[in-house]
Amino acid sequence: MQTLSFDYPAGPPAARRALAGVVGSGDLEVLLEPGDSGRTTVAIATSVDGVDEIWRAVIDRIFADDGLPALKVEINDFGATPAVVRLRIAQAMEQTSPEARHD
Amino acid sequence: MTADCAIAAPRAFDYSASNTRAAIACPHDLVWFEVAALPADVPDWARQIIADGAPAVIRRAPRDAASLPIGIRGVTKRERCATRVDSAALTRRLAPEAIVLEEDVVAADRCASLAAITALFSLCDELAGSSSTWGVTGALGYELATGAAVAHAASDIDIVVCMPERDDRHLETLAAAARGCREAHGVRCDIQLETPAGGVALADWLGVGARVMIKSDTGPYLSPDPWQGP
Repeated sequence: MQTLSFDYPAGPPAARRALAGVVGSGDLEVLLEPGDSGRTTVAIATSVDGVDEIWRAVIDRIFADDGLPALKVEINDFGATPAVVRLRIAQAMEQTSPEARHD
Repeated sequence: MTADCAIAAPRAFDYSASNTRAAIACPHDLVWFEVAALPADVPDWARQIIADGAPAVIRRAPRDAASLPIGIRGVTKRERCATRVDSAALTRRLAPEAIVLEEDVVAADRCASLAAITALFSLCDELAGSSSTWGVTGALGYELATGAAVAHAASDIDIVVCMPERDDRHLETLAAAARGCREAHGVRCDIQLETPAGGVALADWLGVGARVMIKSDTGPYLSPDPWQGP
């Protein structure tokens, strides 16, 4: 078990919290909550050691845009592939926008 | 070990292949081949594992008549090698549903030390009345198929269940069996449904989300219903 944390500049806090994904091999759970204005924090707990650089690359690409709403992101990873990581985070982010229907 | 599937016959429920005629192995199948069939860029540790006679696992990625996507399992979770192998190089294939689940194939000390093994045999009893095709994958499946001690005390149970058509009663049976595993044995049971669109986690389908993640050969995508087309 390993924990990773990343930090990005961001806009005003997101409108609401959201949850996507499941506990299970090859998947992950992601919880998004409104963050402190101007700052997105990402905390990852993963069952796979030694893959920090892959995580950094995947998460950087999603949150490097500082126009995004500020979020507090918590991820519980069970060996998801980068494609699954991107999809689950996008699924959760869709639900945090003010106009999101309840997914 | 019994009932290996014939190498050339596609699994009856391989709906996830875009070209079933060409698909000679399905995700989660264990496959054996000579080490010489591996591409040159495969790391030495992975090459050694295949040279020692261990199988690789079919990954969910494009499959065709010429080559198959495989993963090689190392000693640690970090040691996972994703590569491809020529379809013609396969010497043996073992689908999850063909892995023998009998207590006498497991060494007594493994039964005693791994909660997941005890839980798996209870699960077999619970699912014995259902007519569905299912099998064990992941570390436990690999250990039962090869005898290599790769499962550990915290291992969960991964199973794949064929569900060509939505069957709500069977979904309930599966959910109850997974709950039983957790409550009676403290072991998590991850159930993957093999649907016409691809693999879907039972927990995802039973969750509150309007869409579920489908793992297809061409990557994951979201869909409201894997039994209703993409």
